Amino acid sequence: MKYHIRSIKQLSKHLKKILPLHREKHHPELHKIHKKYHISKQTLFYIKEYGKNANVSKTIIKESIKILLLASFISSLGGLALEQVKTLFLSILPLIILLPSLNNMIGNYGTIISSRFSTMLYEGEIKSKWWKNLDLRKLFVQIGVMTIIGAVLSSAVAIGITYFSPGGISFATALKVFLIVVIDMVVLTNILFFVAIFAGIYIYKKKEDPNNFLIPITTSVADFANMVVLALLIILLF
Amino acid sequence: MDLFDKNFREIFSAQLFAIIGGLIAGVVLAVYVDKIFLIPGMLIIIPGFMAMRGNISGTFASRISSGLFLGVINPYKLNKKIINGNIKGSFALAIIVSLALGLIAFAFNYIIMGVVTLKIILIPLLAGILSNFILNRVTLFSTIYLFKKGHDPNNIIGPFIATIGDITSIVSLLIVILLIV
Repeated sequence: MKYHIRSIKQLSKHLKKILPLHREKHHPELHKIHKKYHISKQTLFYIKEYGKNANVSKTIIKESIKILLLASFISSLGGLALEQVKTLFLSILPLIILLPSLNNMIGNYGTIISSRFSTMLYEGEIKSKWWKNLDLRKLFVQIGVMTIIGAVLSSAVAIGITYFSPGGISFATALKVFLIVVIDMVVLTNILFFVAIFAGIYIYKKKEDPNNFLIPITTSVADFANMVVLALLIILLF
Repeated sequence: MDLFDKNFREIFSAQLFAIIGGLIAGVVLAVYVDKIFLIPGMLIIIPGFMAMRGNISGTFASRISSGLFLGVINPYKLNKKIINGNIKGSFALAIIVSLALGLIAFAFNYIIMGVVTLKIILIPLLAGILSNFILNRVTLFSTIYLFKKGHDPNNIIGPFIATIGDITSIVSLLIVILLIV
């Protein structure tokens, strides 16, 4: 019992020691406490970041602000591309209905591809000939199938809503909208895979955690490219 | 190769949920198209504004989930310091990012289109505050509720926030536009 109390006192002393440490310095100390007291590294990291003496809101703002501002700027650039074809875009009602869904779907695929590819990198599944990896091929086909089903479903609903609205929709416009959505989604999922694979391998080789970089990179690229591809397809088809 | 495995079903059902939310938000956009897009530069704001709720509320939910799983946050007796810190942090981020979006749109409007509209700064700022106020509470209570019910919030909260966030963002933008334009 005495030993137990002493051990808790020692632990609390150790935990106090890790709180003021800078991120780049915390690893050896965390490892020592993890080994001695069998507390998971994740718990120790969480306590260090959001513990007793930590300023929670300051930590959150400090760590997120740069990437959030960068993501906002990139998304705005994409929006600017669409603003250039505003009159044409606003005249195609199904595309207005589809805008949030397209952004959602592409953003979600970016997150899924990034996190799955990061895990594959960590598990050592990705060798120099990454294109021969069966799991990666399977993920590519699965995302491809989901992309086409999602594009067909969402465009069908948007076209259906427009059909029953006062203005209606012609067959030619409906077909063009359908083509725009399918082409946009297929092009973007390919771009996402390309970015995730090459950026992921590069970051992993630099001994950084791909999880921290790939999701913001792919979602920003997805937001930007979605708007640019949409604007280009509208100009081409309408 | 089993294409339609558990992963496929999980991702696809989440996607369906996100598509439905996106379509509802899209219908609101389409119904009020003449009001929302009346102000030059709104198309510059919308993609970033919609991405913001996922980036801020999604990470907020993820931090709370981690705290719950690690036992640092007790779902029955909430650690006020961590929860309040998270709410304040997310709220401050929403204000900064919304303001930045407004300033970027203002700059683009001025440089590229030669239009000066101060409202383009005010609209995302006020809408960002309003939508974050609603979303933060919804995120917090749904994350804790899901955890208490024995679910892993990480698997459900992402598409849920995307869906609710889409609707909240567009409705907040609409309310602010109707109030100040």
